[in-house]
Amino acid sequence: MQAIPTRDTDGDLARRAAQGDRMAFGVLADRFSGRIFAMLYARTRRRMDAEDLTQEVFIRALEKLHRLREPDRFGPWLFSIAVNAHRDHWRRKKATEVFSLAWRKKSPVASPPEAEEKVVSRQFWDRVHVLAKRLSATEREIFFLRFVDDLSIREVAEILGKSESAVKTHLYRALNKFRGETSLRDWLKGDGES
Amino acid sequence: MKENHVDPRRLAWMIADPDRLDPGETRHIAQCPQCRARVHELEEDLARLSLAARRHVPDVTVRVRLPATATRPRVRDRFNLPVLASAPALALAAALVLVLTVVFRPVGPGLQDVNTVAPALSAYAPDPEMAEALSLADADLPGEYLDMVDITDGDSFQEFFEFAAPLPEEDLTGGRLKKGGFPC
Repeated sequence: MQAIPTRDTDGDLARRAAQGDRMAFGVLADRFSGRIFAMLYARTRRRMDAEDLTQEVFIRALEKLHRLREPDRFGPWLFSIAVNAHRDHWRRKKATEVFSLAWRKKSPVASPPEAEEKVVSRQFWDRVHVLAKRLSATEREIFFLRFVDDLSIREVAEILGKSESAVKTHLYRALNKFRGETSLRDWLKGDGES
Repeated sequence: MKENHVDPRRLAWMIADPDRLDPGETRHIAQCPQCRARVHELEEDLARLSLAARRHVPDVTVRVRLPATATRPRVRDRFNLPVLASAPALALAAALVLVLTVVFRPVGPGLQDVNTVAPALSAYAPDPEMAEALSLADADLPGEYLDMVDITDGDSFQEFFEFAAPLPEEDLTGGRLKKGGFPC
């Protein structure tokens, strides 16, 4: 999806959108939808879920835009909505699985990733998944926001409501676990050359 | 003479926060090609990870659709309850309330003077411990007990492994982002 070219900053657009300019919000949606979708796909590995959640994120953002105190921080604010939307999605999914378990008396099975996921992509996300298992919940969230979603430490701190110092400490621990994940690192070297 | 390199684990501070390194470690890294190469390799792998994460995400096929007006979805919509499915439930709930009202209605005027609890308490009066236990039965639990019986689902979130990036553990009890986080 191509973002509409405009010289307006995110802050300018967010300010106008907060005053009811729907076109300005549309530009913001075009500008950020790709990154929000990618962020949600990295966590769900299901295109449909990621698309639905992306839609939900922008609807929530539109509803809560008037509460954004610093329009210049629209990007991190939007990511924080995405993090919460993903958590809500996870809770709903977990509740459904619990009911499904009680109803069908089957053991819970993790949803398989998309069938159409290409073999190479699956190899990549499977290895990332192995790394994710080694990280604590906080390390995982911070490491992903920083190195998968490509956000700065300041942005990660804002999104999670933590101090930059705390984010750096978690990141340090996560980096050392990533350092020891030779399977993923070797694969990345090969993927980069292919 | 054996050269003392910086602990490979501490080299990660070069990426996370270089200020956490000792001045001696910083000096060593600046002068040591081996330590610098280790840091560089880690940085390159992280850059590859970031690149691969973008490369291995499918293209978005659906454009974000904005509603005509910004409104919260109704509760029924949020819980996916169709109108027809919720109507019988409401009728059943109303009937239940009616039945409970009839069964547990206040006693008639002729019976109001009959105290059914007092005789029971007086029967146990000789036993001070039992009397105290009975008098405390309906008292509110102290805060610390309420805290102890509070049900949290924190542990269940540890099963979040079918997803790549689950919840931060500190935020599990609150669930949502809080403290200095954005209001959302």
